[in-house]
Amino acid sequence: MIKYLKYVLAMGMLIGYIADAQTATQITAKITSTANVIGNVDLIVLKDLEFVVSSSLSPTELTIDPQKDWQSGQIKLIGFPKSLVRVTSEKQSILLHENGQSQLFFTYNISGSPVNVQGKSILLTKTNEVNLSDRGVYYLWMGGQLSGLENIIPGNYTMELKIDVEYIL
Amino acid sequence: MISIKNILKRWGNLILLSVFVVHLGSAQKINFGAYTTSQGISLVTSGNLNFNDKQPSIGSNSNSTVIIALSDNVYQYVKIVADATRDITITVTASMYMTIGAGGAGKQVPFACNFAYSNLGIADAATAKLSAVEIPAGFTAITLPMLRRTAGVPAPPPTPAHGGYTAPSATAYLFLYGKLGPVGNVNAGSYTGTINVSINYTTY
Repeated sequence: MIKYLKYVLAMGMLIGYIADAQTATQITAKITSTANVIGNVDLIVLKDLEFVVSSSLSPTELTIDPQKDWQSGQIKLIGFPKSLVRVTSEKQSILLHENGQSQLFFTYNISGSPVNVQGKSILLTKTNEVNLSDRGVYYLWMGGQLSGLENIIPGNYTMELKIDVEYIL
Repeated sequence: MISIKNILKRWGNLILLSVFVVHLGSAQKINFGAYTTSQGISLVTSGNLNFNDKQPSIGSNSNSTVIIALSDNVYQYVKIVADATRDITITVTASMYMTIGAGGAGKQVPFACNFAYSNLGIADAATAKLSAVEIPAGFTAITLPMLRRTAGVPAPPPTPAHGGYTAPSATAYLFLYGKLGPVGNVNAGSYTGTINVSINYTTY
């Protein structure tokens, strides 16, 4: 009988030891850290700026209102949603005749909106800070005043509009 | 023939002695038995630590560093509810980089996690933060009482568990914040890292 009792005692001690070890309860939690790193803002030209000047009308100046005229050019910016970007553009440019013998002067007006509705766009100054929409887009419309039409030579005139768009970090 | 009965018959005394010696090794402490089983630790996490909440636009190759400080109000926290009479040990480990996928060249940004605690028994996180104690960078584990004594003499020993008795609980907070960057020439995209928090009652 004593022989079995000591085994029972030993088992009791083992169980007690195991139970003691189990009191070291550990609980864990996991938290995720996140960050969206952005690259460049993409610019997509949706529509070129179009001037149609009739020499028979002999205007000296022609104006395109970027907030309402259909001839306005349009660019779509695509980037990180809700981010703040700086839009910088030249204020003036020169249009060169295709044979290089004549030139016209162009002064830009640019308007912008986070939605693709020209009538809701607001005029931007030379440097403007704008927020991309919840979908990460912003629309620009280009218009302006064309001058130097007094001695215009018929033909095609071309120019390049330079717009810089960068994230404000 | 080898059987359990034969083993016990032959080595029984030695086994009994071994168990006794092992048990003696931990006989120096008073064991309050079912304390941790009757009063567990519960954790509630507040959400993800989002560095865009501090700086909406984080540019690749900008070499910028984004720091979320405890005072920035974009920190995250772990709410701890446990036995008010006991000490807890908190271990915080975090990945060294936030990565896209498995990380590697061009797909990882350095990340350092910092943490602070408040154990004054304040139930509200925003209020608890005001008295939080910041842990210097480099430390990953701390031991603290669940409920810090602010004045007076030490309290008497805790009441041993017994039938129908529930030990008082207290709320403590662990606040998590940190630093991202410098952001080098890495791919644009969503970077993630993991902060692991483990908490247990301290044993002495």
